[in-house]
Amino acid sequence: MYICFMYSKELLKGTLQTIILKLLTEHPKMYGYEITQKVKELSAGKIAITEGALYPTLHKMEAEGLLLTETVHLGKRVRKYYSITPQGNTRATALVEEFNEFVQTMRTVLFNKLNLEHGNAERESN
Amino acid sequence: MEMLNENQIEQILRDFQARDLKDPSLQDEVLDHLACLIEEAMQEGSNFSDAYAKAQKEFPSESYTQLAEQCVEAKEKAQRKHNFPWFALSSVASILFFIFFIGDGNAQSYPGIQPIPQDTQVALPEIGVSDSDGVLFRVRGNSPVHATARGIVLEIQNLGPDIGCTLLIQHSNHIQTQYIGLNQILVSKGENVEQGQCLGKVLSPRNNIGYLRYRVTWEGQAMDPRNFYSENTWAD
Repeated sequence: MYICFMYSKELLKGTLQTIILKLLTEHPKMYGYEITQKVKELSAGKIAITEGALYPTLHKMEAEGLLLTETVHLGKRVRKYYSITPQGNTRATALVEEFNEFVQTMRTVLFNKLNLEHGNAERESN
Repeated sequence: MEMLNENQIEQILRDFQARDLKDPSLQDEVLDHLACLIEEAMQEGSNFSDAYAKAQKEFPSESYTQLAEQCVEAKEKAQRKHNFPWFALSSVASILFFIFFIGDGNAQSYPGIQPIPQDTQVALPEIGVSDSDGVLFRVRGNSPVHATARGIVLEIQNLGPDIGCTLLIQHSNHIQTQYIGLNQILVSKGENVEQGQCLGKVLSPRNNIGYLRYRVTWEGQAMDPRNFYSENTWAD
């Protein structure tokens, strides 16, 4: 029911918003299925977002004012497109930065790989 | 990609209507999603009924009702958070409000503002899992941090270049506020501070997004800081 495939759902759970917002900063508008396909493609099939995780997250972000929607009629089908608001853009930047930081911290914690370009320099300057 | 024809869409729609999805906008989305899955399978050479069966397996109809509930729940949760921050205010907090704010007769000693002005916040503050986590503000680096109430600086601690400094302020009525993640402190230990006074600046890492963790305790017990301020208090 959740985003998973190669990775545990616990590991990916907190990243769904980040993934969706980042994608929408790069694409003017996308619909649900398109998002799942894009993520599958970008992750070489390693991350599959399921409907059960995708739609509640999209609806929540729409209610929070991070996303806008627009519907297009294709015969009897109605396609709902999502696009990002300025507020969503700001959030996307913050989430991506935060995630980047987190990955670096985790690397340090797990592999004791100090970030040479920043970490040591900062330590020495103090 | 080849699109499903009207008859095929109608067939899916009929199966759908038998299921009574409460949220019509979700029904549109689920139908479109299902149709896309079918089209993908047909692209790979399946005929319609096989493709439909495969799509149903991948996205079983039993899950629609659950999905609709989850969507409604997620939306309501977001709206509560978005439009009505005081929703979280429990009756305990109301009593506290009475004791500190009215009982004390001095608005300044009650942490009724946010430590970071809203215009320097880059994202909604993050609420911790428990009250002792306080609230995490995400801000532009070097943003000023303000004392949320009148008090005395009790303790300043330097936790190194990664975390920065922490500052503890004692207010009247057994309230303490703690600010974690500053790089520049503009007050000193023992100094009296006023509500809104600048205490220092948020540690600015290389990416220019800084984090300030803010905690409130009452008689040593952690409280949810949001119970004290309204999210629109910052007027100047």
